[in-house]
Amino acid sequence: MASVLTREIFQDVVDRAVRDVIPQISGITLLPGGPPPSGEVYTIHTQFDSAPAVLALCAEGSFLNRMTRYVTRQEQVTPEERADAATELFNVLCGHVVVELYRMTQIKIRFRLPQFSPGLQIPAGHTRLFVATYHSGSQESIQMIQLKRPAPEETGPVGMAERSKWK
Amino acid sequence: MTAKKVMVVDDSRMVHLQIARLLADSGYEAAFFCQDGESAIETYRQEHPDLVTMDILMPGMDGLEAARAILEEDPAARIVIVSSLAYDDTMEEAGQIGARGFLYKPFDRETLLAALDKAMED
Repeated sequence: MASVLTREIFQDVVDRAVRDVIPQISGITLLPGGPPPSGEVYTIHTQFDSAPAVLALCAEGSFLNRMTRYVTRQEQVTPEERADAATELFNVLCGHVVVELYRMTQIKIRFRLPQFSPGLQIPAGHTRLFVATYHSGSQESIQMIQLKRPAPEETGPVGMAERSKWK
Repeated sequence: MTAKKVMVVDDSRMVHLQIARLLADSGYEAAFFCQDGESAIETYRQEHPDLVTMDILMPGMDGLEAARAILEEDPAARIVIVSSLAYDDTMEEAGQIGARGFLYKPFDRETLLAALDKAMED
């Protein structure tokens, strides 16, 4: 059992969660690699309470639309349904990540309610720890991005107000 | 036979839709939907559903708090905790407050029905 949560462990756990959870929920199988998301993209992110880290999922709108149609069994989906489905997908993904991290390290991590926003939203001042790109067989890409939050003295309080600093 | 009425508590409307779809023609009916703990407590008081599926991570009062409040008022309430946050102590806490089961997201129809059937036992 690992006693320290390293970037490599985190990335490995995220990778397994992506490949396990996303196909179950979305019906879409993802393979590692491919071009980064482009065009109409959306970001869902959360902050981990006991680690200075943010995990974000950046996905193309076409992927989210297909996933939402699969979840709802509807031909047409609204932007609200897409945001809800994406947030729930990410919520489940994060649940699997933190539980697996706990099994491996006995380090318990809680995460905040995920936030959905249009565009590729990278918080200002954050350092990218890893970026993993996945693609489907239908020209759809997503990225999992782990970011390290800057120390509080560098940016002031970290919390929901932080969203205003996203660019 | 009258379908057992299920109250689905989850901040995601997708989960409401999903559970309603999975319960079609099953002997259970997703009859009431709530998106937070406070409204779950109020709806339970008014409707007395046969079963409750309760998410944990929601805005405001979380699902374990809401389950505890419902079970304090009605110790016979049948509540299944539904979450992706399956820490051992969370599952233990769910059992201690009187929840009848724990369902790990994502789930399929078979797993959902098995959890509800088990919660309806005795």
